[in-house]
Amino acid sequence: MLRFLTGGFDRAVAAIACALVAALLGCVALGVITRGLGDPLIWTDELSRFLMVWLAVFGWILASRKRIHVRIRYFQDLLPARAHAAAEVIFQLAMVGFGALITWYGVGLVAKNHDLEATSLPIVMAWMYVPMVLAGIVTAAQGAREFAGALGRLRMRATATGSGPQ
Amino acid sequence: MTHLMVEIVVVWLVVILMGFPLFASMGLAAFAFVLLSGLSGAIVPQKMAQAMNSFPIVAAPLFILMGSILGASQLTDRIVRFATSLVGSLRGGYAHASILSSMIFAGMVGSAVADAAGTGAVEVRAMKKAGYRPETAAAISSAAATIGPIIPPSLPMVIYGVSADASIGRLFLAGVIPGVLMGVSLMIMVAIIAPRQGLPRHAFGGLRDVWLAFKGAVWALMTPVILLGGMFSGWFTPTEAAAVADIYALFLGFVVYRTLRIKDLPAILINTAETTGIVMVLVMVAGALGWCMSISRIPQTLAPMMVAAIHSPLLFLFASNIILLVVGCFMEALAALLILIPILVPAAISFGIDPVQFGLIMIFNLILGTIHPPIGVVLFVMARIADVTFEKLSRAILPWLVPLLIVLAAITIWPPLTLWLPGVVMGAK
Repeated sequence: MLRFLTGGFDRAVAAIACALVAALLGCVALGVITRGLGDPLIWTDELSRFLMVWLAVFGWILASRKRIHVRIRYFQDLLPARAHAAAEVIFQLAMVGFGALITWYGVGLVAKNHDLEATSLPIVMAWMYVPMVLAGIVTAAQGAREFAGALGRLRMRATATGSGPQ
Repeated sequence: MTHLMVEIVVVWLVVILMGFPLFASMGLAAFAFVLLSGLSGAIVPQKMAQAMNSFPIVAAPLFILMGSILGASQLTDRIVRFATSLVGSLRGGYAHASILSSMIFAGMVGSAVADAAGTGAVEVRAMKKAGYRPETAAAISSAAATIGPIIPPSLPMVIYGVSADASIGRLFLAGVIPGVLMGVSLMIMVAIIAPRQGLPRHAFGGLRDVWLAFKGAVWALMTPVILLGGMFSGWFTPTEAAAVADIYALFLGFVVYRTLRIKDLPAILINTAETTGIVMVLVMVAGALGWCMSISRIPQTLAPMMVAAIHSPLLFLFASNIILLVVGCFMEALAALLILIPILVPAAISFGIDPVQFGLIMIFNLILGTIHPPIGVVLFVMARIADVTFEKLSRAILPWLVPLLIVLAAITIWPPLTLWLPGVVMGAK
């Protein structure tokens, strides 16, 4: 069930990210074309910036789900297996904390900006911060899932060496 | 606040070296600073979103998209074939062709990773087939990929121009001569090592072969002309140039060469979104961390200290090179730019150094970090393409850093290498 849900979520995120890339390209191109025709649209720059925030955040979510964010693993890989697993447990716990902080303060930002209008678009500035909340939730959830996995590996190592986790 | 920030930065460096994901470590460092300083935590997500709320930064995903389209539509194959027809008959011909292809490709995309992912696969495949050792092929292609963000258009130059309030047009022109010098110096290096390593030469197919390869690639070769012509004639901005390039590449793929199909689009778009996510989340957290550094008066403290301790502009540039090379080894180039610009650029200006020359020096140094362990994102990409271990490639790349460091020294010591062309084309400031 969980696999079905995460699979559906991943497909939805990928589809939205594709749409955002296409929309961004279309929006910037529209700005160039309408200016070239002597009748520039005033909202293309602002819409591009909104789309950019959304695209960056959806790309962040995609990269988190695929675990392809930049990490320097060189020194961690030099650690003994148990210390390596323990470090991973701490890191994933910190990821949960980071995601939770982004979610918590992101919700506050959305609330504060719910009545602040954008300059040229008929939308409120809260839409700029909405994806931050989603990214925070996904980061925390992904961190929690990997924390559980890392903790399991740490316990297995501890069992193999005959002592509990420290 | 300054002391608090310094302590946080020290902890942050230790944590990233221990293997914590870079973006989260920077984000947590920013949260630690604002919360321990009694400021609102909402500043962090706000500054992260604001880092993306900028029109010039829109060029980033559009340049990444360009690299994906060029690869999927096999335009890179045509460029490599043309370069091979020109220089392939020299000893180490495929290595020369790899460097020349990267120089041409650099005029189409503005990032080293896009260059590596775009031309790398074709170049490495050709070199391995010709008998090059995989790590040698990957090292040559990696070194050549660093030309990508130096020859215009260039994503780091757009970011630098916006952050340091420098002319993006001048920065683009300033990159032309150093970019060509990088290519020439790498080709000299190939000429030196080719006889020693017994690198093969490709049989010269005659002028007809060159003409056919040129004819096959001519539409792709027009891309830099359209981009730079459009930008300098005022038709579009550097950011918009990326969108124009994408549309032109799609037109070539779908209509002219017919190598693209509709079913290729989802993979191109997802690849773009993923790469954008990996890079842009670092820029987002760098926006928050950069703000924390400004508020903690790190730039205001460090810049006068540097000016007081260092008396000569040349010495300052030398020290900056060392700092940037070290930082470039541990941090993604765009994120490092955003954090270091407020610290180093004011100091450079107070030494009378032109911000355009300094921008080139900053970008050059940080791009060298992409082919240097331990982060070396270009090395990661190329190791996967060439199917060699990262450690093996890290050793193989070392000799290829020498010619690039010589070019870096040249642009550091002699400002006309970067400032002459912008002066001729755009006039004195």
